[in-house]
Amino acid sequence: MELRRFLFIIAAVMIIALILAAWFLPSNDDYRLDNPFWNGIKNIKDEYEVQPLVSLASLPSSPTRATLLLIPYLSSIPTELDHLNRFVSQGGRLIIADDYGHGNEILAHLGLEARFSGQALLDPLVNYKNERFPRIIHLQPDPLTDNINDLVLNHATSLLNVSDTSVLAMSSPFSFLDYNGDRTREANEPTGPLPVISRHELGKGEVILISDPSIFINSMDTIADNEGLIQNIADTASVLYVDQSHLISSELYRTRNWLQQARDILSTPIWTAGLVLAAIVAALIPIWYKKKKPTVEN
Amino acid sequence: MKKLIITLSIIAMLGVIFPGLPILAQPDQLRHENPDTTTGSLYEAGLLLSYSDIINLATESQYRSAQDILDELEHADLPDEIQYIIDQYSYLFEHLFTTLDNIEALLDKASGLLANNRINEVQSLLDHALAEIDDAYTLLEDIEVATDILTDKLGVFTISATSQLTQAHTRLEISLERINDLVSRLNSLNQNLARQYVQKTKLSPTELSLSIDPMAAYVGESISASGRLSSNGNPVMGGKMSLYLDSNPVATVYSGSDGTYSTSIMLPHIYRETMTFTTVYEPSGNYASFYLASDSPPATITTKFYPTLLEVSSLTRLYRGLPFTVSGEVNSNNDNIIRNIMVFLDDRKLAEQMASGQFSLEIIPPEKIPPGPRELIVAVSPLDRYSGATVQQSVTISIVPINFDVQTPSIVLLPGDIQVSGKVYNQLGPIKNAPVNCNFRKSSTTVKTSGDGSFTVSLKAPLDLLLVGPQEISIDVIPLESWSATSTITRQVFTINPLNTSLALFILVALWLVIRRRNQALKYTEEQIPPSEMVEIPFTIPLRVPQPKLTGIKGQVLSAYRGVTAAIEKITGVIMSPDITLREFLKMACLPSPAATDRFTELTSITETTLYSAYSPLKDTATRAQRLAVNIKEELISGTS
Repeated sequence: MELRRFLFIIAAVMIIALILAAWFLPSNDDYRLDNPFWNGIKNIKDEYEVQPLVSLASLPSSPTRATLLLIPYLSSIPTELDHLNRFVSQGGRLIIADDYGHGNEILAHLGLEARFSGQALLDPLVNYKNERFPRIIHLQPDPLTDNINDLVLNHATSLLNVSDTSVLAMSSPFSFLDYNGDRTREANEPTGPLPVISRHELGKGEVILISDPSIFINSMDTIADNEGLIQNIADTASVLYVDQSHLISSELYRTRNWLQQARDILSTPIWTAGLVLAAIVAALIPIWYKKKKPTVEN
Repeated sequence: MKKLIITLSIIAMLGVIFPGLPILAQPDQLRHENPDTTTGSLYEAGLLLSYSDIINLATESQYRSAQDILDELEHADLPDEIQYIIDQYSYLFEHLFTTLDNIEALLDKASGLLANNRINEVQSLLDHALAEIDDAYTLLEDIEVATDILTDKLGVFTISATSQLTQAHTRLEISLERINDLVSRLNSLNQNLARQYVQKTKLSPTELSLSIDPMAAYVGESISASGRLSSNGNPVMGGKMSLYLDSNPVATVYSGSDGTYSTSIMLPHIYRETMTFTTVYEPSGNYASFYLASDSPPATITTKFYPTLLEVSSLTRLYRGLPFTVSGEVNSNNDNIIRNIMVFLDDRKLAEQMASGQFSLEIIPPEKIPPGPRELIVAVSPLDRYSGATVQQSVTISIVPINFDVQTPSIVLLPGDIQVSGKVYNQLGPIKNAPVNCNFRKSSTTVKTSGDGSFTVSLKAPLDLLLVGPQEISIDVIPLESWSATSTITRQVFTINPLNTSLALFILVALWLVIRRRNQALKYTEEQIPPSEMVEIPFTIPLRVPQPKLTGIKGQVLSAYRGVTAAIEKITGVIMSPDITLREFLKMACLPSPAATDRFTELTSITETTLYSAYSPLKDTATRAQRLAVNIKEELISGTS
């Protein structure tokens, strides 16, 4: 009996410890607004008024001048694509920051010809530290590039099928797309300048393409004028939404999500009432048990 | 055993929580790395290949492109020991490209002049080109030396050099050979043109005259141009000439048998005070084998037109999407002429109107235009003899900020309704029909402002897990007008959830009561035992009582006795330890009623007899003991037998 009780206590302590760890340990998932580490985007959350989005269904019905920053590392279902289409056509600004994700699915659905190339953009000369961090020095005058001299990307790609008038930023002439991953420029590999940021009007709104979502992560925003880009995006948006529903989730993040869902369910009136009732019963049991105890023991 | 379980459990718990989390939390296949921890490296082969590409562009006469790419090398992230060499290397190429560009320009110009039999400037052009070619050869020699230094610094010829680096060096050498060839070709071309020049000096020179009539005319009127083409005083018949206004050809004429020519042209609608005409003779066909080219002296005439005066009045601060008025007056020599008036914002045309004299245009600035300084341009198009006019004015595109007057309750009871009211306005007046979205935790309500900008919202605050504390109500206003800024404000309210708070208090009180009652029970037990006996009895550490197997009549008696002692131990807390005799236990037990005490005394006596007598007990004795035991238990539990 004593051993059983001991094991029960140990199990309970472990479960509580796991729940507390999942709840309080900071996330280190890529591009998460609550990730304070190098690969998160908590700095954006701390410095600007952003609205995290866990579902594209939560996009506003009248999105004039609202901006949605989308990092499509997970595929979108048709309903979500329709939400995006409606958001843009009714006046919203959609910023798709992608390199090797599912951005092209969205572009195809929106009817745009532009695409993310999906190949690594390397710049062996004009870079930050090494060729995987290309430095972007060709920026067209635009509210988004205001007061920006250069940007640094991190394992970026480039854009395809973008007209000269749509391009806002281009890589240096020394850059190239590394098709075969050998880090060497081959004759068949396209060389710079290659477009990395572009703007496309669509309906009443517009779509901005950025060929590297890593430009927004905490460790990149202090490099070059990357922070200026974020600042300009925030300044030109009435509301800045940051989608979190198309990012890859770790087990820790999923566990926390479940816990949050559980808390949300318990916060509904019915469940709260049930919980209150359960608490009352739990509080009364010892008293009732105390009164009946001799009979039971007998 | 217990320690082992504890140790294993802790190890298992730590093993699950700490080492596992970073792995679980790190999705794979993401393409970025921490810039703070990444290391820098120079891609030497890429550097040489870039120079090779730049030189190749130059050999295709794309000097401007080559120069632009060379300029971008200034942004290259290079180690300090390489940077100086690269700077010098780039400087040499920069000079070489400029020199080659000049040589090509000089030779092109010389070639063009020679083709038209214009030899006056050719000699100086060719001399200049020759000097530049000498410079180019000198620069190529310097570049060769610098290339050796650079390749040596990059370790091209070391054992550790990669095949990529070696190949890149080979490509650079090939490119350098190509640019050497280019300089040689330009040198050959220069010599060839010099020979042509010598041939052309043997041709006959020509003379050309020009006169314009009248010497003053309105734009759009017809004027006459005439003159004579001759060579050494003799007329040149059938010579093809071009009449130029500034550098633009406006007519082509041929000389007659006496060398004269005449043509009439319409004065173009160029609204300036004078125009200058020139006639140019460039021999072609058979004439090219006999005559040199010539230009007439320039003839300048006075141009007449009616100037247009334009006055404009407009706001200097504009709001996107909000109409504004541009008014003014256009005066064309006091004539009642209808003019075309256009309004631009930077390069974008906003409005156009036909008007005479005073005008007024209502204009809507584009809704998507970003805020900031812009140029408002009002232009009147030229019309026949009336010139055009333009007025440019700096304006600022702004967004009107929103002001709030919001009333929220300071204390809110949950669940319930939260009344939020207020007024939304900006410097232009109240904001009508604007959606106002109020949010409190997960509850959200949207209403529209009325005509005076006021709104009232009743927010439902449902029952949830909140107890007491400050909470935030956020109010978003998204005006329909594009000139108004979207705005959000937050207000703090103090919330109290009476039900949850009462429940929490109730649970705390209940817990406190339970703990208190347990403490009192322990205290009561301690008080029942005389202190002297408490010292003697180590009841706090109950020992395991041996359980002999009880059989037969003797066993029935002992079993009955043990049942009763167990019941007494539970109720009174007095433990029968091994060193206590049956009689001592009888004294210590202190049963609640005399009847129970009498029965337990009798049972104790029967048990003693059974234990220590030489004779076995009778069947009736066992029955009596069992009955006594039942009665004692009933007495202890209910107080009645």
